Amino acid sequence: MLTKLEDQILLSVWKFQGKAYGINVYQHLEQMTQSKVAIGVVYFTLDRLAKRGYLESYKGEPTAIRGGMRKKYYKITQKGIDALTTSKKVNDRIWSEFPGSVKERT
Amino acid sequence: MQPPKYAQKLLRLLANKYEHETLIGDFDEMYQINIREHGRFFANQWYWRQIFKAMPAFLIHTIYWRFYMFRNYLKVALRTVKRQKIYSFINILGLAIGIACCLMIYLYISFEMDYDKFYPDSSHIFRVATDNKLQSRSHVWALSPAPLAPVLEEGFPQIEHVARILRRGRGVVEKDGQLFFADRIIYADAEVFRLFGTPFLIGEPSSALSRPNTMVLTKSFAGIHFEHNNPIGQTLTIDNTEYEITGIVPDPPSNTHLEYKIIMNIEDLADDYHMTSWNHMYLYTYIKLREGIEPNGFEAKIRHVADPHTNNQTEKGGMRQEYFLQPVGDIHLHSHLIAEAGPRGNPLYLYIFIAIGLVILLLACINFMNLATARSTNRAKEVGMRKVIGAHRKQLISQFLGESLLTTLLALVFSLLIAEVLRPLFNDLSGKKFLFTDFFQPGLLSLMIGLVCFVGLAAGCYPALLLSAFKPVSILRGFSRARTRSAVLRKALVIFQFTVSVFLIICTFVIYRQIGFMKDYPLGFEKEQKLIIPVREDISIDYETIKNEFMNGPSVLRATVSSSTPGRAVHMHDFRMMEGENTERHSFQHLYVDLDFLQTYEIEIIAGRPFQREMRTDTSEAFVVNESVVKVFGFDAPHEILTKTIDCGDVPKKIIGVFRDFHFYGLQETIEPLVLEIKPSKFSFLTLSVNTVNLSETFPFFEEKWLELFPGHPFEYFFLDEDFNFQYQNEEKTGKLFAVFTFLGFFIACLGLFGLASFTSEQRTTEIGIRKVLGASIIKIAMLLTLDFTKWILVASFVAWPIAYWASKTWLQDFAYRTDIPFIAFIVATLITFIIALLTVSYQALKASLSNPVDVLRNE
Repeated sequence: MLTKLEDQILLSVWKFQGKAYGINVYQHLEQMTQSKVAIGVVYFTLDRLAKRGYLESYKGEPTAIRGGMRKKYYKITQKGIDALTTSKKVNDRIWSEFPGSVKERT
Repeated sequence: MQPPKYAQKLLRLLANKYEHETLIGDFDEMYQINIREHGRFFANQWYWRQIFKAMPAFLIHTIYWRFYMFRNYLKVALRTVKRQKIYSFINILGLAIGIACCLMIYLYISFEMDYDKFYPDSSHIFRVATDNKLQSRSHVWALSPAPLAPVLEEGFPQIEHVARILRRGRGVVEKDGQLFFADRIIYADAEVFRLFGTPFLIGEPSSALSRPNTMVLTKSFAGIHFEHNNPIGQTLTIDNTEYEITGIVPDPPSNTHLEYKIIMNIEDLADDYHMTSWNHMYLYTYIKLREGIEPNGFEAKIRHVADPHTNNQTEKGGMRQEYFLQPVGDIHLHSHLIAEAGPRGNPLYLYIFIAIGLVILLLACINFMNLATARSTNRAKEVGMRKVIGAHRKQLISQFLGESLLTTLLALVFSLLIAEVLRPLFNDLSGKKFLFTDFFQPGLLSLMIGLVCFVGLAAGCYPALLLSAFKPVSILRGFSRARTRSAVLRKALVIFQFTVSVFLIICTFVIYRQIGFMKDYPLGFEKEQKLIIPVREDISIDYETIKNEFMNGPSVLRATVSSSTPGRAVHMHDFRMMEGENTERHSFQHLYVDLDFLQTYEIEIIAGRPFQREMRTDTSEAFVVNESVVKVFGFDAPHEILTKTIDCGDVPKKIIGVFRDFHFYGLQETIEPLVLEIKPSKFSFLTLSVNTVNLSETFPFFEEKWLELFPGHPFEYFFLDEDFNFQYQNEEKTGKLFAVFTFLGFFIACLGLFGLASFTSEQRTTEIGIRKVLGASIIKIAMLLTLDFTKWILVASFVAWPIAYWASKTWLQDFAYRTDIPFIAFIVATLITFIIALLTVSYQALKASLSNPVDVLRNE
C-alpha cells in the first residue's frame, strides 16, 4: 500500500520516462501540489521506493551545470507500475462516493 | 556562481557518502536554476533551508542508531564483567596496580625534576662554585671564599644581584625562659630576597636585614612560637644574642636544595678571619645575571677573578682557584661537589624508576591482552552472530576497544584507591610528603587520562583485531580450538612477565646482600656501644674534667673527645713534607682528637706509638697518621715515616705513629689519607664507650651530668653505629623500593598466570574427563596441567639470569668495597618464582583434576 506522497512521486518518475532524478521530481511535485516541499523528503521517498523494488536507479553522465557531478536517474519498474495501478483502483474506490469532483467544481 | 561554502560542507557531512556525488550535483543544479529564476538571494536561502529541514530527521536517525548500539555494547560489556568475575578482577586489579605505580613514580619524578625551578627567572640564577686546583689533583667545592661576592658585585655590571649564604645549622633559641634547638639557621646578605624573588608575608625585602641583629623567620617557625601575635619587632635570643624579627617569609617549598627556617644577617657574623680569607671555602655565593647575559661567556670572565688575591698562596703551594657557574635548577640532580647544601638527587634513580614504572605497566597490559585473547573463544560466538546479523568489522573493533577502555577507566578509579593506600609507604620510601590531592594536579590528571586511553587502546587493540577477524562460518560451524599463533604469543608474554620477576628478585637479593655486607664489614674501629654527645660550647680548657665527670657514671668504660666522628664531615687540609726534596702538597683528612681517641675507638697502631699522656710534647708537637699517608708520601714501610715532620700551613709537627687504615666513611668511599692531631679548641663531640646492658640506668645520670655541666643547653646524643649506618640509607631505600616493586611485579605476573591457568583447565575439561574415565590419577592430571608452566619459568629464568647479572654488576661498581654475586641467588630466585607460580597454578589444576568426569562429559 502506498502513501499519498509515494503515489505522487512514483507518478512523476513514471511521467519523466526514465529521465527522472531529484530535481525534476522535486520541481514537478511543487508544481502539481502547489505547495513547498522539502527536497530531503523527495530523496528519502525515492530511496525507500527503490529499496522496495518499485524503482530502479542508474548513474548518468557528468554535466557542466552540476559542477561535473553525475545524476542519479530513476526508472519505474513493472512492480512499480503494478503498485500504481492498484493504488489508483483503491483511490478511485475511496473517492467515488465523494460529491465534489473536478467536473462539478468547474 | 558557487553555492555557499559552509552550506555545501554541511551537506557533505550529512549526506550518506555513497550519495555524495549525485546529491551535491542535484543541489548545485537546483542552485543554478534558482539563481536564474529567482536571483542569488533566494538561491542561497533555498540551499540553507533544505539543509536545515533535513537536519532533524538526520540527527534522530543517527543518534537513535548509535545510541541503540552503544546501549547494547554497554550491556554486553557489563554482562561479561559480571559473568567472568575472576578475569575481570584480575584485569582490573592488575591494571590498577600498574597505573598506581605510574602515578606515584610520576609524582616522585616531577618533584625531583622541579627542584629550585620555582624562583622567578630561575634560569638566570646561578651558584658560583670553586675548583681548587692543586698540582696533582683538584677539589671541586660547592662553596666559595667569602670575599668573592664583593669582587663580583663591583667588577661585573652583568650581575643583577649577588648574595652569600652561610649555613649556621643549629642554634640554641631562648624564648620566655624556655630553651630549645632550632635548626636550619642560615646567614645571608640582605640582597638574598631580591635575588631569589622571595615574597614577604610581613615586612619588606629591602629593609628586612638592613640593621644589625635582625632576622627573618619562615611562616611555620613564627607560627609555632608566636601563634597569632604579630612577631614583627619582637625578639628571640639565639646562642645568647638577641635578634629582632623584621620579616616573615613563606616556608620554602620542599623541593629546594636550600632549606631555612631562620635567616640572619651575614654582617652580624663577627668572623673577620674567614670573611676576608680567600683560602677558605667558606660559604655559598649566588648570582642573578641580567636579562640577555650569556652564562657561558660570563663564566669565562670570572673564572680567574681570584688570581690577584691568591697569587701569594699560588706561589707557595701551587694552588689556583677557578670559578664556574651552576644553574640553580641543576644543583639538586647534577651537582655532586664537596659540601653540598642539601641531600643530592641521583638521576640514575630517576631512570630506574621510570623503567620500573613502565615495566610494571607493561606487565599489567600484557595480562590484559593475554586474558582477553584467551577469553576470545568465549566471545567468538557473539562475534559470529554479530557478523551474520550485519556488523561491520569496524563496528566490532570499536566495540571491543570500547570494552577495554571501560575496563581501564574502572582500573583508573581503583588505582587512585590503591595509590591512596600505598601513599604512606611511598612517602616513607621516597622521603617526600605527598598528599592525596597531589594526584589531582592538572598535569597529572591529563597524563592519567591520556595514559588510560593509551593503555585501553594499546592493550585492547590486539584482542579487538583478533576477535573481529573471526570468520563467522568457521565459528558457527563449531569452531576449531587449534589457534597456535595466539597460543605462542601468549606463552611468550607469560615468559616475559616471569623474566621480569626473576630479574627483580635477583636485583633485590643483591642489593640487600650488599647492604648487609657493608653493615657487617670490619671497619677497622669499634662502632658498637658508642654513645656520642655533641658539645656546643668551647671545652678546650676543661675537656679532661668533663670526660672524668662522665667516666664516673655507671658502665662507662672509656671517654674521648674529637672534632668529628666517623661518618661525619671532617676537615680537609693540604699537607707537605718538610724535609727531602719532595715538597708537593697533598690534601688529607684532618681530625682533631684527644689522647684517648685511638684507644677508645680500638684502632690498631702498626708503627711507632699512639698519643701518650706521659709524653708532654704529644699535645703540641705530634701527628699520628694512617697507612694511606705513608703511601702518598712514597714510603714503603710504615716505620720509615716516623719522626718525619709535616705541616699544613699551621705549626709543623712530627709524625710519631702510624695506625692501620680504617673506614672513616661508608664503604662507598675508598679510605683516604687521615691525620690525627691534638687540638682542644676544635673538640665538639664527646664519645663514651658504654656497656649498653643497663643503659636505662645510665641515661638519667648522663642527662643530669649534662645539665650540671652545660646549663642552658638541651641534652642530645646519638649512637655511633646508627649514625654511621645512616650513610647507607640511600642503598636501603633503593633496596626497599626494589622489594616493593618486585612484589608488585610478581603479584601482577601471578594474577596473569592464575587467569591463564584457569582458562587452560577450563579449555581442557573434556580432555581431563576422558583421561579420568580411562584411569588417569589425580596426581597425573595435576602434573599434566602444571608441566607447561614449569617449562615457561625455566625459560624465563635463563633469559633473566644474564640480564640480572649484568645489572647487579653495574650497580656494584659504585661501591669501593663490594660483595660478590653468588650463584645461589639465581637459583633461589628461580625457585621462589617456581614455587609461587606452582601454588598459583595448582589451585586450578587440582580443581580441574578433582572434578567429576560425569559432570563434564554429560554435556557432550
